[in-house]
This record gives sequence, structure tokens and C-alpha cells, in this order.
Amino acid sequence: MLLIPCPFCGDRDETEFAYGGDAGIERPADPGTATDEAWTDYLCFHDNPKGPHRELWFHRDGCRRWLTVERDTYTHELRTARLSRP
Amino acid sequence: MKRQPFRTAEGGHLIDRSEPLRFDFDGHRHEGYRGDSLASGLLAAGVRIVARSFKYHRPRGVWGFGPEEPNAMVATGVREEVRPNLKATEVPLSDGLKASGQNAWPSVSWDLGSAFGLAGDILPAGFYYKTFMWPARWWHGLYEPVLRRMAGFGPAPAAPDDAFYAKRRIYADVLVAGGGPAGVAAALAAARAGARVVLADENIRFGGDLLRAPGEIEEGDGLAWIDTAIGELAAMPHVRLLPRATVTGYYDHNLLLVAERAGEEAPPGTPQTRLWFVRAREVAIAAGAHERPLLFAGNDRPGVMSASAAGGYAHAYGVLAGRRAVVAGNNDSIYAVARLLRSAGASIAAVADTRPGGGEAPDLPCRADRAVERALGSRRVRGVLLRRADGRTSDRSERVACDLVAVAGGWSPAVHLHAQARGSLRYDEERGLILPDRPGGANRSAGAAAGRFDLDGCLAEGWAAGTAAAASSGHERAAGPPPRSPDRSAGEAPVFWQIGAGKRFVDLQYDVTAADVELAAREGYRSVEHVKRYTALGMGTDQGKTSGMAGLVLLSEALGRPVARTGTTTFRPPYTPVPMAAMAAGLLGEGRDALRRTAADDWHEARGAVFTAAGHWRRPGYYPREGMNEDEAIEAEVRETRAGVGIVDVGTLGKVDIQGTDAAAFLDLIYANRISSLRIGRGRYGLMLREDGRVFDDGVVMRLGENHFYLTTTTAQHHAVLQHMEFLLQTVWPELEVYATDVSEHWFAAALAGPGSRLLLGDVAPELEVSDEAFPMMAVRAAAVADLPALVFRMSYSGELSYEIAVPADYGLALWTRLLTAGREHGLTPYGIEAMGVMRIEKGHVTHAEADGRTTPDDLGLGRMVRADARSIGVRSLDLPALRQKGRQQLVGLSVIDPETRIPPGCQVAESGDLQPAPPLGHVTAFCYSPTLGRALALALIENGRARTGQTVHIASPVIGFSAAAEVVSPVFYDPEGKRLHV
Amino acid sequence: MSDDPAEARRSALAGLDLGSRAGGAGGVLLGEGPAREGFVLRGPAGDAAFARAVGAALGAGLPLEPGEALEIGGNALLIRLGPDEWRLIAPLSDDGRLAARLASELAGGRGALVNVSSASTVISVAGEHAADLLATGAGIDLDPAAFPPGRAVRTRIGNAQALIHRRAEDAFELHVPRSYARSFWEWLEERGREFDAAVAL
Repeated sequence: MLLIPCPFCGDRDETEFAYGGDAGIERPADPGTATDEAWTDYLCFHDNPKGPHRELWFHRDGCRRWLTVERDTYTHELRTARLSRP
Repeated sequence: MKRQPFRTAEGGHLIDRSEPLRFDFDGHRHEGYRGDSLASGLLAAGVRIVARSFKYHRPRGVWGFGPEEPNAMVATGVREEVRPNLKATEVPLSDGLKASGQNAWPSVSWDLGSAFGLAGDILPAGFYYKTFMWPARWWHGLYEPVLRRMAGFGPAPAAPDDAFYAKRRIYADVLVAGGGPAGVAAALAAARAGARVVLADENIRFGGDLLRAPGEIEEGDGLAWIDTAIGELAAMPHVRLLPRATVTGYYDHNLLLVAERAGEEAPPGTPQTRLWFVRAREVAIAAGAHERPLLFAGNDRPGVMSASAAGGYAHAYGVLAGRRAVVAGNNDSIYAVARLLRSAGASIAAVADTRPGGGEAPDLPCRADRAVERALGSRRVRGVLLRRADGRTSDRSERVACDLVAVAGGWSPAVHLHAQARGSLRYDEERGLILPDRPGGANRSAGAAAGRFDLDGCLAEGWAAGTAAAASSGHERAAGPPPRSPDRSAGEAPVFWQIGAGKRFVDLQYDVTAADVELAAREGYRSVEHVKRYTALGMGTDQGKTSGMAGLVLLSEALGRPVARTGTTTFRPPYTPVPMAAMAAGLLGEGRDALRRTAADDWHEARGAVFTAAGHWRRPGYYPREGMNEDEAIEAEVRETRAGVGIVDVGTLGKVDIQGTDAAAFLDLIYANRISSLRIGRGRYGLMLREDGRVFDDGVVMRLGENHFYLTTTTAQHHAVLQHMEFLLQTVWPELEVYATDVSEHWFAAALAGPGSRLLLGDVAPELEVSDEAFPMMAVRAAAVADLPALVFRMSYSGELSYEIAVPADYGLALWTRLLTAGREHGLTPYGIEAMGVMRIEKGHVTHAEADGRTTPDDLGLGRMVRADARSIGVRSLDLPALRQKGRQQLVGLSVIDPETRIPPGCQVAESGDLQPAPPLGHVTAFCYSPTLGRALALALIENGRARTGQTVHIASPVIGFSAAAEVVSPVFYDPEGKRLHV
Repeated sequence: MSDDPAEARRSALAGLDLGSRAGGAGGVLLGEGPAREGFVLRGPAGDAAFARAVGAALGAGLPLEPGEALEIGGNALLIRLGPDEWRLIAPLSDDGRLAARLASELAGGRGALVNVSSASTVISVAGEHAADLLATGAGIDLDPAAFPPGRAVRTRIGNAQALIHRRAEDAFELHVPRSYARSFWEWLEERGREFDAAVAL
């Protein structure tokens, strides 16, 4: 079970969090002008790397903040965790 | 006869001779002492056959001293309370203990299954996969019942285990796994440095190898030094000592699982097992090493035993595992064991050293360059044949009579925890050792677990590991110099594995022989993982602690490649078996899982409601009635609500308070329909999409103020909606000033439904104007209802005139009972979610059965609600070709043509009713018998559904041979014009 | 029908009839704490006007340490639960006065105040083994060095989410979501067998 260093609450168990996927995905600023291809890229085509990954975790049972966490998907090493909205 | 014929006259530091205990093994009474293990008690009593082996049912005795024991599998207790699959070496003796050996029928000393042993060669490696294959019809009648009796490990208890099991979560700076000299030194160094320390050891007493053999530390008795150190640690408030506790699992981010067994003197109520979940900054692995067997014919006979264990029984328990011993091995430890056995009263028949240069001990009958070729005897060992260690056949074997063969094959470091943490391993060819290499977490291995076998080296490594672990966790206070011992013998063993032919057992528990491993290699198995599964080597409850290394070497030899290239099987938790009951602690019985109750739950229960689970909630399904079955009771609830007035508990809905200057703008973005145009005091049905355009949730949004809204979610998606809102507010639109607050637990709500609801509301809320004009559809009012502060919202789910009344949940039961009391003269009927479900089907309202994560608003007939603003979540996706194409499944109503037909669960919708294989048009999402319309109705998602209106299709379940013709109609079966909402 | 809403108030644990089971001594005493008023306060911690408004209403500064539970006027608490979230807990006898002051100071500015008085059930866990009992189901570090008296955290414990307020080294108050309260209590009592838990008088 991962130990996630919540910048607000301190170290907490993974079970207090919900996973939110890749943190690098930006919603197109004007969806109306996005091509079908750009929009499906945003919706569906996400990287699933082996190794370092910036991802989102929601501290559901703590401060209820979304965190951006840098985790190695192979070793589970966690490098940083910061509030997605400071 | 003497009660304990093999007990020495004195000695045994673990036992208390002043307290004899009686116990029962396989129906025979025996006696031991307080402090004994079942294994030492049995050995003292002269019981040599303790269990039968798994496959051949060969007689087996005690091999080891602790958790590495492969043979002595026993069950304690009888019938209902039986605890199977215990190792006799780990069962503390207690007065009145009843135990029996396993894998034997009817008993270990007279076992029918041993016929398999005589026919040994018919059960080679992979026999599971080669035999019992056909004829298939023999499975039920013959193979299965026979195999069931023969296989497996002991009986399952017949009654629930009512013992108490516990769990505990703690944090530590340093967890020390293993309380031998290295572990105690590590704990002491770390604790003196100021670190929060947990020291866990599997034995009842700290000391590790010093329990089995004497040693010297700091110019005194080693065990006495350990006791002093433990005393010092026990006095420190930041140290927790866990004896009888095995570190069994090493998980991500230094979370370790420690299984603590109750002591035999534990007061009543003590947990049988307590699982400690320790999150440690640093781990010192001082788990010791396991003594290896040597492979020779008959090496499984009762009386063939690990040399350190044989010495240990004499030293720790004052028990002789035999009176006349042959000590055989490939390293110096055999001389110390021989002297230990001799001083305890055994005679030493021979000390056989496989090394050509060994055997220089004038006080002992030494045989250099000699190995045991074969153990003689069948039910117990009666002697050995000794032979030149290189196995040359020209030499004659020497026959030596004995009743104990103490075997020292060297040591395998317990690298399990290191490897579970994904540390890498390396093979030291010269020493024949698999050793920890690069650690996979914040841990350090020390002492025998790291391949250091001399006492001085163990102390030094443990001390260094404890000091470094404390420093890494921020505690750098100097702990002083390490304790010293004059024992600096390297204890190196030249690699020696096997000799001779015949049944040489590698894995004693699963009866895997050297020939089986060789056969697997001949049959083409190369991967050690495959050989493990094919031969079952290392798959027993001992997980190959004694066998793994020998199997690896044999396989490498058979394949003609270096051991390092063969590699090891993966080390996975648990290191030793953990009782399922301990894992289930806190998850059984009352409170096993959250059960959510609404504020009116006590009333429902008193009224005898039959509850239905909705996630963690329980909701009244229906209220049983005298003289009616379930269906009739539900139909009565529907009829009475539609004709008069009903009340339903809707306290489970999610409720969210939204405030902030951007609240209205935000709601426009998360709903597919416009919210910002709502006037204060009015509400609107809101449809929420996922970003991919599928329907996510629905509910009602009410505007309480310019920048203040209150909205409901479905019961199921309440948490998901809140998480979704926070996601958008924190990561997508952080510039918005909006606060979404969960108020689901604060509000209780009940709905009054039916043409009589207005009159009743008027009665209980005298200050509220309830006329259709003053309180129109979709309006919200704050008012006193039944003298309670309430929010009243006029909306409808049932299709009737209806009001939802919300009060703070502390007043929920009062609201409910006061409404019921006031409603008596109105004929108020409480109804449950079954009746609610019938009414929603009659009205064609969607739930998660229809909004199933695949359907779009248009699929559900809600396309008109979506406004064309692509910025709103999910709306852009509705333009994607896949979501617009023809042939999508659409929501329709199905009206069954024959009014007598009832629809079973799990039906498809098919073009034809012939039940022949064909792609279905879709499936039924909900069905009921409608008491209002007098026939069965269904909602269904079918291909091009709306275009089929008026056609006949078939509701079909090929599985049960059901088919019924139905007409495709609008999903709104009842009152499509909505007149009932305005009566 | 009664005219006084207070008489209509009912605890989520009422069905357990704890009063009739109270008594005895054990390693842990479990009890239902007095019902409280509770308000969620939201707002930007760094916004001077917001902080001023809170200060003016409560006569105390905004607690800024995570988990800081600031005492207000001797019987109310303001707890920092998140970067923009606080919980105001006041005795029922306050009758909404603190909250009303806060609401009026906040009016027109940033932030939000939401009444959640019925949302939680208060359960007290006290005694020599209080922390040990919580450690049977909570993942946080309960060592007083890591979680000192006067702090409060939101976390998971047993089968529920809870706000745990450490009043003293061996005394905790748990604010458990109302709908979970009864099954959480049952979980707590069942796990409490290890410590001879008794119901507090």
C-alpha cells in the first residue's frame, strides 16, 4: 500500500485517496473548435508509461484536495506530491 | 514407563520443569513441561512419527525447530474447533492440548495411503497433470472422492471460529525483523540513538540461534546478554517488543505485516492472532538463516533431522531427539552439535564430515570425507550407510547403527523480506549462498540473513544496521561500540548437496525428490518458475525454506548451467502462513461493513420493513402486509399512492450545497442543460454528463439565492459527483470562485406523493400556501412542516402530485412520524423502493439501469435537454460520429401483449421469439407488473428503438426458454401528458 | 405535536439505548458525546478580507496549521481541515449565534458558511487504550508526537470516514457521518473487545 505524502495532511495511506489518471492532460480551452481528432486524443489517447509518471490523486478522506504526484509506475517510488491548485 | 523417556535430567532454558502439562496426540496421552513446543513435547515422549507426507504418505518426524519445519504438520483441537496446518515446532504446549498428525487416515502410524509410497514411481513429477485425465466420467465417482481424502492439508473446522483476532496499525522509525543476536544488536543501537523501534521475533523468547546453541557475548553467556539487552529495550517507552511475532510481509513504501501469536499463558480474550501493520521508515532485516538438508536416500525418515534443531532440542528443551546420533554435514557446526548432544546424554556414533580435510576432533568419532549415503529403517531411522563424499563406488559403505541422524547442509540466508521488497539477489558461487544484493526499499540485511554466520560478525552487522537505520530516520545520537564475541569462525561451507541414488527428498512437505527435478529438466522445463509449478517444489506451507536452494542447484546441474543463471522463484508474502481469520479481523459480524441508515430507519425496522441494499445504505424495499405476499404488498403500495397519498424515505439521495460568485456559471458547465436561468426559489431537473458524452448522473438543482444553490444527486453517484466537482474546480477551472459542500448527511428527506399530498401538506404546514398557483411545480419553499424547519420542493418522481420535504436529519424521525400521524386521516401509505421502482417504470424515468455508462442523452430520449454549449462537460463529445451514428440502442417501453405474462430477470430483446441463436436487438433494463395498467411492462435499450415504435418484438431469455411478444411503445406508459402532476 | 423543535431531536445512536448499557470499567470507555452545532466554513486562507471577517466574528485569528483546533470562547472550536476549509463546532446552547455572526461578517465577501449540524454523530473514546483501539482501524500515526492533543484530522477509521479530535493524550472525540454512526459504533464495540471496552456513563 502506497504512502502518499499529502502536502496538507502529511503521510497518508493510499486507501484514503482516489486515483485520477494522467496529470498532463489539458482540456482544450475551446471544445467547440476542437477537431474530432483533437477531442478524442484528449478523451482517450493517454500514455501509460513504465517509469516516472505525473498523475492525479484525490485525497477523498483527508483534505479533499487533488494532488499532482510524481510516481514511478514500476517501482512505486514517489518523488513529489503537490496541490494541483496551490 | 517413564512419562518423558527422552527428557534429559536437567537443562533446557525454555522449559519450566516445575509445571508439567498433559497433552494428547492422536489419541495417546503424553506429558511435557510449560515452555515446550508440541514438537519438543512429542520428541520428549518418544513420538517419532508426527505426520504423513502429502503425496506418498510416508511417515515423517520433526525436521526443524521453527517456521522452516516442512514435516511435522499437525492439527490442534477436535472437530468443530480444529485448527489445521500448524507446524508442531510452532505450537506452544498447553495443558489439555489435543493434537493430531496430518495427511493420515486413519492415523499417522497406520496409514492406508502409504501404499502409494510402495508404488512410488507411479507418482512422478507432474502426476497431477499426467494422471487422472481420462476417462472423464471417472472423475466424479472415483478420482475426486479419493483425491479429496488423500490430498490437502488436514481437516477444515466444522464450526465458525469464535476466537478473537485483532489488527493494529503502528508507525516506527526502525522495524527490526528477527530477534537473534544481530536483530537485538540492531534494535539496541537504534533505540539508544533515540529511534522509535519495533523488534519482532517469531520465538517466544528473544535470542535466535542462541536459543539452540550456547554462545559468548561480552565475556559472558550470550543468552544472558540478550536478556539484559531486552530488559533495557523493554524499559524504553519508544520501543515495542513483539515476541511470538513473525514479520511475514514486506509491502510498498515500507509497510510490513507482522503476525503475532497468542502465548499459551495469554489471559482469556487475548487475540488468537494479532496482525500488526507497521509503517517503518527503515527496516533492519535480521531474519537469520535456515539449515539445509543433504540429499541421500531415506533422508525423510523420522529421526533424520536438521543438526541445529537436534542440538536445539537438547539445549533449549532438555530433549534428546535420539540416544545414539550420527552427525553428518559439510561444515564445522557438526562438531559443536555433536558435543552439545553428547553433553545432554546422547552417545555419538559418528561425526561424518564431507570435507576431505575435516574431522580433526580427537574427542569425537570422526569420519572425514564421508557422507551419509542412505538412511536405514522404514518407520524410523535405525542406522546409516556412510560412504566417501565424492560418491566413488569402489569404496565399501560403512554401516553405523543410530536412532538420530543430525544433518548439517549449511545455511540458506532468509532473504525473503529483502526479496519481497524487490531487492535484488546475487549468488555467491564459492559459498553456495544466495545473498541480498541491492535493497528494494529502505532496508538493510544483517547477520545470517546477509550471509554472516559468526556471532561476532552478526553483532557487528546488526549494530551497524541499527545505527545506520536510526540515522536515516533522523536519530544520530551515538549508541557506543558494538557488543563483541570471541566467535569469529567464518562457518564457511564447501558446497555439497547430494550423494547416491534412491528416493532423495528435496521438498519434504510435497514429496519432491531429486529424480523429480531431474525428470522435469529432461522433459524440457527450463524456467525455475515452471519447474516449481510442475513438480510442486517449494509450494507447501513452508514455501521451500529448506528445499528451495537444493532444488535450484539440482535443476542447474541437470540443465548444465550456473545457478546464477537459473535464478530463484519470486519471493512473495507471506513468509509464513497467516490465518484467514486474522485477515478477516474487524470485517466479520456487526460493523463488518458500513451499513448506512437514514434518520427514519428505526421506524422502518419497527414497522417490519423488508430492507433492500443500495450501496452501503439499507432502504425499505416494501412493508409486508397481513395476508399478502410480496408482490401483492408492493402493488397495494402503488395503488394506494396513485389513488390517495403515499410517503417514501428519500434520505439517501446525495445533496450538495453550492455557493460562490461563480456558482451559476459553474453549474452551467457541469450540467448539460442550462441552470443559470433559474429564478430564485425555483428548481430544475439537471442532467450531468461525463466528458465522453455519456450520462453520468441526474438530480434536481434548486436556486436558494443569487449565488447559492442546493442540488441532489442519485444515491449511487453522490461521492463520484463531489469528486468530479472538486476535480473541475481544482484542476480545470481554478479561477472559479465556487464552494461545493457535501450536505447529504445533514438533510433527511421524505416525499409525499399522490393526489392527496397537497391536502396533507396543507395540514402539516399551515403557514405554507399550497395551491397550484402559489406553490407551482418545481418551486422550493422554506417553511415549518410539522413544526420543524424544512425545505419543501414540489417535484415528482412517481408521476403524481408530489412534494419532497427535507429537514435536518436530527429531526428526520420526528418529521416522518408526525407526517404518518397527520396522514392517518388522509389514508397515508408508506411505500418502499420496490413500489417507487414500479412507479418510475410506469413513468419511464431513467435510473442507472438505463444510464449505464454507455448511453447518451439522446439514447435515453433526453436529447432535447442538452443545450448547445460545447464548453459544458461532455457536450462536445455528443458531436463525435460514434455518438451520432444510426443503429445506437435507444430507450423504449415494451408493453407485453398477453396480460397474464410476467417477465423474468435477465431478458434480451429479440426480433423473433423462436429462441434460436441470433444477435439480440438489445436488453431489458427494468421490468415490473404494473398494477396501474394491469399488465407487465419493461424498459429496454434496443437498436434504433424509437423507430420501432408500434412494432412487435420479443422479450426473451434463451437460458430459461422464455419468450413473450411485446409492443414497442413510448417509455412513458402512464400519464404522458403529465396531468396527474397538477391535480 | 410539539412546538419546540429541540424535543424532536434524535441521535443516530438512539436505537442502541446506550444509557441502559452504561457502566463498568474497561481499558476504553465509549460514549456518545453531546450533540453539537457544526458549520463548514470555506474561503481563501490567504485573503485578508476573509481572515478579517472571520476574526471579527469569532474574536480569534484563523487557524492556519493543518489540523489546528482553535478554541473559541472556551466551548467552541474552529478546526482547519483543508487549504480552504474549516469546521466550526459549537455547543447546541450557542443556538446559532456564532454562525450568525460569522455569516453576517462574511456577507458580500468571499467564502461560504454551510450548516451541517445534523451531519455528524459525536462519539467519545477515552481511556488507557483509546489510541490503541483507534489504531485497530485507522491508518494515521496516533503517536502523541505525531498527533498531539489539540489537533484534529479527517481520515478513515474502521468502516467510516471520521473527523478525529484529540482532546487529551488518552481522550478522543470522533465526528462520524450520521448515516454511518450506528454501524461504526458496532464496529468500535466489536474491536473494543480486545480492550474490555465499556459504555461510558
